[in-house]
Amino acid sequence: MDIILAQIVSGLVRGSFLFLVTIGLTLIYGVLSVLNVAHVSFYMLGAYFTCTFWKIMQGYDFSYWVAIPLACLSMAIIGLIIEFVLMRRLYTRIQGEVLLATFALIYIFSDVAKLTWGVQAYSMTDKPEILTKFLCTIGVVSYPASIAFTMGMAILVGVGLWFWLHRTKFGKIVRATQSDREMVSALGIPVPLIYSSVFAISALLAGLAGAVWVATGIVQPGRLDMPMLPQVFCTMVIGGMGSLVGTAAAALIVGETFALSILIAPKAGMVAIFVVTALILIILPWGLFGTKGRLE
Amino acid sequence: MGAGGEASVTEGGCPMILKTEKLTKAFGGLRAVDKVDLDVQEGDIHAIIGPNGAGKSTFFNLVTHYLDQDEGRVIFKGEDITNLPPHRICKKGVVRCFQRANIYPMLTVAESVQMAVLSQQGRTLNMFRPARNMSRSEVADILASTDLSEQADVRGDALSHGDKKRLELAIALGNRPELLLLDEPTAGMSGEETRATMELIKGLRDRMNLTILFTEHDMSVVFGIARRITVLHQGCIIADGVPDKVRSNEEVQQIYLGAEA
Amino acid sequence: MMNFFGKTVPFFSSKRARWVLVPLLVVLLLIPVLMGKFWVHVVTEMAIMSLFAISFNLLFGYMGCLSFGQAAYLGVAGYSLILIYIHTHLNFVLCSIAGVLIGGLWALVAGYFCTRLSGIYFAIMTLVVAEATFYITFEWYSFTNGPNGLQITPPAILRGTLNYYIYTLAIVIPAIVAYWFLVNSPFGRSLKCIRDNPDKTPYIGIPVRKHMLIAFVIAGLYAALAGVLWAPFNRGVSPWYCGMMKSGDAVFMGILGGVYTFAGPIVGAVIWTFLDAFISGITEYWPLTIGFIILLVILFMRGGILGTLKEKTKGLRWGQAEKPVSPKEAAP
Repeated sequence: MDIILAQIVSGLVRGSFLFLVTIGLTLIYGVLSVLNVAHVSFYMLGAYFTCTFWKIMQGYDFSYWVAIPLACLSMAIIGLIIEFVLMRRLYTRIQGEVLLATFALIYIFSDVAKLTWGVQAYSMTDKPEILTKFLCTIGVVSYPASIAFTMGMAILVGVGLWFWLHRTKFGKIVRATQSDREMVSALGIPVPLIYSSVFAISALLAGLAGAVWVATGIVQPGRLDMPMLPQVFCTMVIGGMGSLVGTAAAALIVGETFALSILIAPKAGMVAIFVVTALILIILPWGLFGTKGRLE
Repeated sequence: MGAGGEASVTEGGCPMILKTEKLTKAFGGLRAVDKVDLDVQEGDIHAIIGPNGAGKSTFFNLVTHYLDQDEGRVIFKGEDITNLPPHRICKKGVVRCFQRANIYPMLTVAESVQMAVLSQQGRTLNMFRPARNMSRSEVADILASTDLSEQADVRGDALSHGDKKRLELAIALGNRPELLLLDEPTAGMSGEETRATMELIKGLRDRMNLTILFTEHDMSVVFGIARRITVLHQGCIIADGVPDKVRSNEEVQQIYLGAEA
Repeated sequence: MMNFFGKTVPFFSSKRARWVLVPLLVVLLLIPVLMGKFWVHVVTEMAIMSLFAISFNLLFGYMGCLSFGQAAYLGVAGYSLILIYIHTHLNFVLCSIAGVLIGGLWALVAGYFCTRLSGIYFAIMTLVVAEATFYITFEWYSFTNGPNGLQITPPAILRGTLNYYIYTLAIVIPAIVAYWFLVNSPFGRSLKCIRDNPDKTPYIGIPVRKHMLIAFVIAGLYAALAGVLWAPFNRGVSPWYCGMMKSGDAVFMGILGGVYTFAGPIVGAVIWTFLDAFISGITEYWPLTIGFIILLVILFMRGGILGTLKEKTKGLRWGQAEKPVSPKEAAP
């Protein structure tokens, strides 16, 4: 019984990570209608940056907590650069070309990471105590505080984004751009600037996801970018491309599917995710909350 | 009422090629098509008119199964085609031209028409013989009858607007239609082009034994060639009959023709 | 094509056949004579990869559907060949045929789900299928030997480089000829219709989903054919033959060569294989290199190498190259 509960919690944690990684991509697809699959590379780079910044300040209590915003900032800058250099030329292209170009970017970034950080594994060797102490113990399972951190971050980001999009002026402009770009432009608002900002924000979110990962995980070449992509995709299509609520719901579904299916067949976790994705798409070919490019 | 296979007959003795029964479609609270009972006689040139939003395009969408109906049936030559997939409806002889010329940008005029011809012949699953020599005479005939022979090798995206609409028509003819649905065939055309299109439509109907059902905003076209007119308003039929009868209908004048003068 | 009502010449006596095919055949015959084993090996790989690239391009270039999962069928065919061969010791060619059919069957199952979807959902689903195939072959240790993969030694007659080269060409050349007939047939044309205007195509009487599924299976069969040539060539299979990254190879080859031309995928496969052999000898950073090359091709050589070449030499009249036109570009 405790095992089942532990798996449910594990599914929640997994879902939280998935949400954090995927939400930036949802934002881009919803507003810019492009699929930047190199988003998973941004996630990986965010994790690497966090490790590096943490290492620089190693020994201080606050080192991890300062590393997080620094990594996010770094990723935002990289996002801006990529948007300016590459994405701008791709906005008028067909979807397939953008996907391929950004897929090529994944290859590039993967080697760039290898060149910069080498092939060894990085991790936060002494984690802040606040994360490692145990929250509670149910039965034979002890739950560390880091799970609260992960889930909390996911909720924070989700709610924060929703508020930003629906309650702030900038957020409303962003949503307006998604539905009617010409109108926004006619109102004197520079659309390219909006695009750049949204892209930078999505890169920042990916970086944040990477930073959160470092709290509990290891960073190694090839482990964070490519393997994440199928799961991110499944989350996006289950939820409905471009839907914030959809991404949240889908991340939970995917996380729990993996966690609970392991109970039945220990090796079938990933395949279970794929089967569930296929089944959901049979009934709802546009995902749970999807119609083309809606961001809510 | 016609069951499968039997032809339905009006008092005039001409069989009804198309009959809709209580055809209905609502979008949210708005009834775009509201219990429409429409008859089209075989060989007729039948116009559907009405203000914008009256439900004309939706009606065509229902007949060709671009949309699912909420209620009602569509009967073609006595057979219930309501739930058939669009490609089967087309094969049966109900062929539609779209309002905005919806053609193949990267195929030439001849190739596009040829595709419709090959499709109607059921040859699209042929994987072994080059397509370029197939059915050339039939394609040539269609191009000649729609005045596109000069442009046989021009790519779809290189055509003028008027030519695109004629290509749309030529493609439809490739499907050997018995009932041709034309959605605003003269939209966006100059006066001269409009007259030419009218002549073309009349000529095609005479030569090829077609029935033509079309929607229009241009009243000169409607009263020029239509032998029967149906007026739609907010999804309902408010008048139906020969042009003179419709022209003198008071409700029609009030709602529609009055504004047009 | 050039002239719908003009006189048409049967392909094999046309100018193009004489100036391109004959020299090509001569080159293929001379390679084993003039060049060493290494190059025979490389050209064999180029030929096999041509089929893989064709498998991608049939769906993307002709039908407008981006498939990121063709490796699933290549891998399944390879695995099937080896498993049947090991367990039944039947004739190697028969096992290969079985491998192709099983690969095609997997394509039928996957295609049934994928063709229900459109656009980006379709692409993602094909990727999901490939990754699912990867994970199945990776985790199902008892059946597929997991990450270690399976080994195969082809029958003695095929073990030599030259003999395998001939075997490969004997299969690949007819397959490419069949592909030519396929894309120029009414079926091939109907795929182009589906690509160019999927909304209109049902309204000229073509059952779109049925055609898409058939095309998907044919593409799967080509990938499977590549698979049963690839597995003995490499003396084995592993899960990495089935997944997203191997599928990406086919995509890259198609883009490199030019997706809107017939020979594009073949040219792409040749160049890609050459680059792979050449660059891997110089640096370990192959992903970085190929990533940049693909980016440059997408940005600046939109028709791929062959497409761009055709456009620059339009005066020579050796065929039309179509270029992808997105609705955003077409609208004024």
